[in-house]
Amino acid sequence: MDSSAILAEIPRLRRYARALLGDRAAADDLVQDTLERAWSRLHQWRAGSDMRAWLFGIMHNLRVDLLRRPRLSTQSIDTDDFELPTRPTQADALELRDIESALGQLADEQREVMLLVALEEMSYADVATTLGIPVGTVMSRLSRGRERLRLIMAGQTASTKLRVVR
Amino acid sequence: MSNLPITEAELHAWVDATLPEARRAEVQAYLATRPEEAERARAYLAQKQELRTLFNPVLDEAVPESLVALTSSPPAAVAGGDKAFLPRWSLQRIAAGFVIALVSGLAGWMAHDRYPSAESLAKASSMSLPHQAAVAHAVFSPDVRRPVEITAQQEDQLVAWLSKRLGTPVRPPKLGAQGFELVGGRLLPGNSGPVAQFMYQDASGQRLTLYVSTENTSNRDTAFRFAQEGTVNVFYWIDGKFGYALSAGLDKGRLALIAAAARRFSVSAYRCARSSIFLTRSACRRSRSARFFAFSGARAARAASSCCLASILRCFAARSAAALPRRVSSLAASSDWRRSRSATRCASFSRWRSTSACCFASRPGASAARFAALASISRWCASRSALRPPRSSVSASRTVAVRLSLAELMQPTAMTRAWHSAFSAS
Repeated sequence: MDSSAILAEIPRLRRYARALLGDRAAADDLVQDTLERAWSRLHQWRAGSDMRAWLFGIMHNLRVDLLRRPRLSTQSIDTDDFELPTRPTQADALELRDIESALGQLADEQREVMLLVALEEMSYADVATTLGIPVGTVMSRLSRGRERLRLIMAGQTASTKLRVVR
Repeated sequence: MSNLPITEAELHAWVDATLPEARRAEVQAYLATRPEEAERARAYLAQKQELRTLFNPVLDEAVPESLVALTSSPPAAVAGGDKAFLPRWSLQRIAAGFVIALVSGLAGWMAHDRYPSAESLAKASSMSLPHQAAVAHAVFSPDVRRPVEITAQQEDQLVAWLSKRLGTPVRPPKLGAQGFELVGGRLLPGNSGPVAQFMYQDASGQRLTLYVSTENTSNRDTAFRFAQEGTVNVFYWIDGKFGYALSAGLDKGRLALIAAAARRFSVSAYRCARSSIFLTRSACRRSRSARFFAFSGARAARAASSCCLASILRCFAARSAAALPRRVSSLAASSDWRRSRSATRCASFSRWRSTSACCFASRPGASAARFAALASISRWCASRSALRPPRSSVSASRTVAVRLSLAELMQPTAMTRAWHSAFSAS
């Protein structure tokens, strides 16, 4: 394992972690944990295999471990129940922020699949290997995630338009 | 164009541009005829583009130092695989493990004889009967409002409950002669099971507790022992399987007297159970002869009634004895029933006598004083036979009855005069 090869992977790991967690500091922590675990499990890596898929798999496992850890139990509140006034989005940057918040509303498993496909441009089979799930599950998660994201975005713009008319 | 339907998976594959060229064209044609599906596919494409626009700038950010440092291998993981096993189990660690095992094993071996085993500890703690009693006394006796679990008003319940829980009949001794009245009792945890505690109080509010344990198995010691735990003095003795401890903040001499009375009660209550059958038989015989005398003459009838009273008091004492066997109690009950008529007669007789005594008490004269003395003697007789254990009460009441009848025989005319004047006055 080469340090330059790892260095080349770090930006992509950071991008994926940032998209997954939505928080810069937490994302960098996750990347750091991933690298540390990669070094400690170096013997599990077969030379010649895809290092990127291996690293992403480690990151996925770390994230699962993190979620399984006992935490303070919280209840998610459905924002649809509240009539919160939203600002009209007039610029691209704001729309992008909207997709970020919409992404945050997705289930973790759907978000993972969508990001691996959209950002990393992995094939469905690679995604399945990385996450350790069957290809059929990848497809269903991708399909549901995209549809949900589309509906959230459509709902947001529709409600925004109504507010503008008022 | 093939007629295969377009699946959802193929739609996504089209969005991600992973379809073969031929199939790609077919999906394109399909979308041209389906505006809704085309709209959806466009939305997915837009999502993908937006996500990239949003997150691609991260690729150009400078990598933080902490992450760059991790790109070179840490020293422990120079080569992967099997070599990672050895450094974890270095020679020093193995040696340290052996040393720890050796030292702790030696310490355990040496400490084995130095500290007593669990059995001897239990034995030692079971010897601390006075200590336990003193602690229980110190805990519960200062309590003003709730010193006991069941008060003396429900003494029957208290006795039944404690006897059931301790598995053997127990009852609180009467310490009225010593000036202490029963307050109540409670159940406490002992060394290996329940123990009972009775609490007494005198007129000045001084409290004492009797701690009754049934856990004694081996020691047959029945001598009085004295112990002092702080300000609490404890007299304790062991009687068969019973252990008694009398605790109070009293001085040693007075406590010894009370302890002697309590012990006399407990011992005689135990013996009474065995001898009550003979006593009941003799009581029956006595009551039969009393009834015979009742028919033989007016003077003799008074003596017979007194005898009858004594036998009834005696019977009550037998009934209240702790360990009365069922057979005996049923026998006593039947004889009680037979004697009930003479008992009623006796009761009315003594009430007569006391009323007349009260009438004469206000008048000056030797006969009034005599009657007052008779009334007090009969009251004393009743209290003695209620407080004393059965056997001694028999002799006491018998002597009192004899004295009573002698006094009445000596002054028959005074007696009749008293009755006449009492009735004519009312």
